[in-house]
Amino acid sequence: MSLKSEEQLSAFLDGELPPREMELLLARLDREPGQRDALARYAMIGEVIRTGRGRVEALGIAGHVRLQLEREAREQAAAAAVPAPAGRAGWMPGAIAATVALVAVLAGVPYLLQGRGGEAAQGAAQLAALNEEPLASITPDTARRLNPKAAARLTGYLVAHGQYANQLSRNTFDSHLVSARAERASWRMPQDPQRVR
Amino acid sequence: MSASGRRAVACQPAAALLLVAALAAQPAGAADDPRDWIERMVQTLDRLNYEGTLVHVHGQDSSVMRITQRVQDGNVTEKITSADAGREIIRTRDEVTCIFPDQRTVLVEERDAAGAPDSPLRSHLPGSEGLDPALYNVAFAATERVAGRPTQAIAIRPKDGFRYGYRIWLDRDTAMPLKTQLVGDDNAILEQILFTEITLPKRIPDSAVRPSMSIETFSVRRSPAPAAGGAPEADTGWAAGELPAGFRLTVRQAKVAPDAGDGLQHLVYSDGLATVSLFIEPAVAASEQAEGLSQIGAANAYTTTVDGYMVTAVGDVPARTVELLARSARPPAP
Repeated sequence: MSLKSEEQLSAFLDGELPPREMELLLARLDREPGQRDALARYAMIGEVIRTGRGRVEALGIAGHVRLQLEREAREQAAAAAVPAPAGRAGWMPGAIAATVALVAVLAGVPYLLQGRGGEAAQGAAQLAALNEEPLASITPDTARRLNPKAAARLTGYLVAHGQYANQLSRNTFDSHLVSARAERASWRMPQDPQRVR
Repeated sequence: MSASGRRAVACQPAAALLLVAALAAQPAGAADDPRDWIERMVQTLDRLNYEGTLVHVHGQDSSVMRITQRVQDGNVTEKITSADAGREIIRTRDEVTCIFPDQRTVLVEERDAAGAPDSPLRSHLPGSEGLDPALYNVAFAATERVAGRPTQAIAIRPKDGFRYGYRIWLDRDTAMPLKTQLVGDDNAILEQILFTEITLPKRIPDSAVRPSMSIETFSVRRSPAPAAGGAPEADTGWAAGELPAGFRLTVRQAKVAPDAGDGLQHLVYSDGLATVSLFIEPAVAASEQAEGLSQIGAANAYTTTVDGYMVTAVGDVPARTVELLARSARPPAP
């Protein structure tokens, strides 16, 4: 697979591929086993890094990934509440959007929220705190985020509702719930509700 | 759950057995009616072991998940792991466990096993009888290869603006849904989810459907099973006053969500494919509730206050539908 293709897959996983290119890539994934294998491999990289199991060395990029993650973690810790710079981490699929949570956990840095102490870091507020975290992948739009407690309540509702949704819909709910990306994992309130009715 | 709702669920296994028998007589790919393909999909989801990589595309965003389903002794277990965050959702017959390693938090939602459908996956997929012809058109659509496999594409189009449509690409051999698009007004694709690779192993070990990490030190927030599985005493009389055509009450239960105060009511309305949940609990501080419309992906929620209660409708339906249900909710007559 060419470097360009790798970069395209990486951008795709980072959510930075323009819609038109995304459609082309999805079509190519259907046609080309090599592309599918690469995407599966990238997903596996994420799992290996996360769980510490498997043989990431065999993929030949472990050192690059870890160095990059550690560098980002140091920057993140230093920046604290300052929004991380936009843009993806080069070609590395292991960064997979370089989420704050993943970076912090992998590098052994306590999750940033935990340092804020007290009850606020627990339970519902902890769950919803993602909504407050400045993440690199936040993109401005016309919607505003809900406050953490309101968002946590809706997330609880969505988990309960998921038991009764059809599976086709539930897979997308699950994707939103398990995603660490703030703009995906958070509830938003449209500024102009009439436009979405 | 209302008596009628429980009866409806109880009837499903018998109907499913008849369908299995009927479908078993057909060779793969022999169905020439799109509704037959949907029936095959429903049966497949209850019987197949599979492991695969799912890609979810929403707007300009995308994410990758690993999904594993194991069917063993009639019990279905599903595990979904985010490739970008390590978060996991594990569903069994008895509970749903959401693991958030980045927050060292575990949410456990106990399920009412007695009232639960046979499988957490097929639970609320419609059979062809669930797709009311008055509400949805079902037709074949252009086919394509997905995950390297030939498919049969089905389009489900709603006849009004109160529900979404779907385009589903089913594996021609197994009827496994390999790609799904959620379709809104003007045929706009709202969300898309597809397998980039899938395997169908005969056996999946226990370890594959267990948490991938140690969660012993995580904070656990457990939501107990619904009171008496929706027994009549859970019926406080709340109901949506207006419903789009075809929607009916299918479940009524008490206290289901973490962080909910006492007295939370959960009502589920369904048209056979789309579902809307109505949650009712005593009102909280204005700063803690999301009055009006909220969205996450294509899911919508609408919150309003009625007689001192916070009423929220949540569903995989257009905004106008959740708004209609929430705003029309009424307490029992005094």
